Amino acid sequence: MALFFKCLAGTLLAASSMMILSSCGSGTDTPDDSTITVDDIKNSDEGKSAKNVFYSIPSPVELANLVKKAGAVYDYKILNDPENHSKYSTSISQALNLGVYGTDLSMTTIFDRTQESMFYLKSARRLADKLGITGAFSDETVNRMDANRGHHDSLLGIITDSYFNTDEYLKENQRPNVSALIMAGGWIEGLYIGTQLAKTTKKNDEIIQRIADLKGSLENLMSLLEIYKGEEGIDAILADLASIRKVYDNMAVQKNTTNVNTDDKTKVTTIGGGDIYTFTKEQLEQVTKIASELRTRIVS
Amino acid sequence: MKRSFFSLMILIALALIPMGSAAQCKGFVKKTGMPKLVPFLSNGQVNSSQMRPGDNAELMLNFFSGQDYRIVVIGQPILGTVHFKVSDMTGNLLYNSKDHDDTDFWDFRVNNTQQLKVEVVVPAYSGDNQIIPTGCVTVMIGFKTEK
Repeated sequence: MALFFKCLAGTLLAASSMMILSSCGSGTDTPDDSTITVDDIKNSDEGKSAKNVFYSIPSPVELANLVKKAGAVYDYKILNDPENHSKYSTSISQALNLGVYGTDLSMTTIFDRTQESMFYLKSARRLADKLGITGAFSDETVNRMDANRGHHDSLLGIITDSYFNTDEYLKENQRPNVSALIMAGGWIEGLYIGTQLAKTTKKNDEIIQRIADLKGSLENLMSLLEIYKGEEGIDAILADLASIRKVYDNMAVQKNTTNVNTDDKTKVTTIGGGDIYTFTKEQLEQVTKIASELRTRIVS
Repeated sequence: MKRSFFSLMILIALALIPMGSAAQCKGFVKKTGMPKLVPFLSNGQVNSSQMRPGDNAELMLNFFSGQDYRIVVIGQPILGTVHFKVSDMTGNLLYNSKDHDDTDFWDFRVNNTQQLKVEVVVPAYSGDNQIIPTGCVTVMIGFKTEK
């Protein structure tokens, strides 16, 4: 019996030590170091190294920024109705539309439509609440947005923080598949907005090039979703994205060798070369049609 | 009885590790990583992992033409100096932090939109005791917006 309690005490001590050591970086006054001292862990993995692969998707703010830089004119009518949030009753539609609203919120903010931004922020918050994501879109977020009206950079920073906190919360709580769906929704909305604006903008060459430029991020998005293949909602989105990818894979490509140059005066480093993809008119129409159908299904 | 109880306690202890690790990365990214991105705006994604000596990680990402970017790669001090390389999809090396005094960030822009790969390497462990250090490593991407 004495041995039993010795074991119990020892085990609890080891467990609490590991907790303390591995959590010490989260405080503000403790060093950002940790150490695991369990020999079994070392022995089981000795000599092996692990490889983590991450796939980065452009943020809603980055997509909206690209649209603006391409010379597009703001059009509120093509965005999802912020009142639609009440329609989304499943966690899949809530996650996808949290992404959609993220892109719409970024668009309204990039184009300095603060009042509309507030509507989208509130809709995004409602969906985040339904998904049980706490802290990312709070009263404080809404108040900060309100207090920073007219401060373009501050508003974009608040939106980015909210989506960063969402991603962080979901990964911490072992729900990275939900985060991937949010990213998918945001990406699809970005493609939809781009293709719709290409139809209504007279000088649309740059917008069309930006749509073609999404090829790499589509591949990354699909690779990210593949990790969660078989989980709720993932396979259907993957199938839809595969039909878009089919068109992208047939684009003409001009291959160029990459190189790096740093300007002696400005100190700006530029990566030159790289592959340039271009759409035919028919391919752009195909992508526009698929994106429109897919987006309609998501927001309906 | 004793053995099964001991096993249960070990399982509980191991189950608690990821919770602590996630909290550890959270504090590290916010406290140390985010300030290094300024004046760039984060792309809003968390690319962090608990890593050990000899581990490596890859981040695949798309950079858009005409946009200014910053890549930040940092690891907790216990891991030593974490190195990173940036290459194109044919393997052509574009940047190696080892050749730049092991700086933890790189600012650049691209002429044409490109898919690039960031490879992060935690140096091998050179100690001779039984302790394996683990620590959080994070890769953050920032960009500048149009005003």
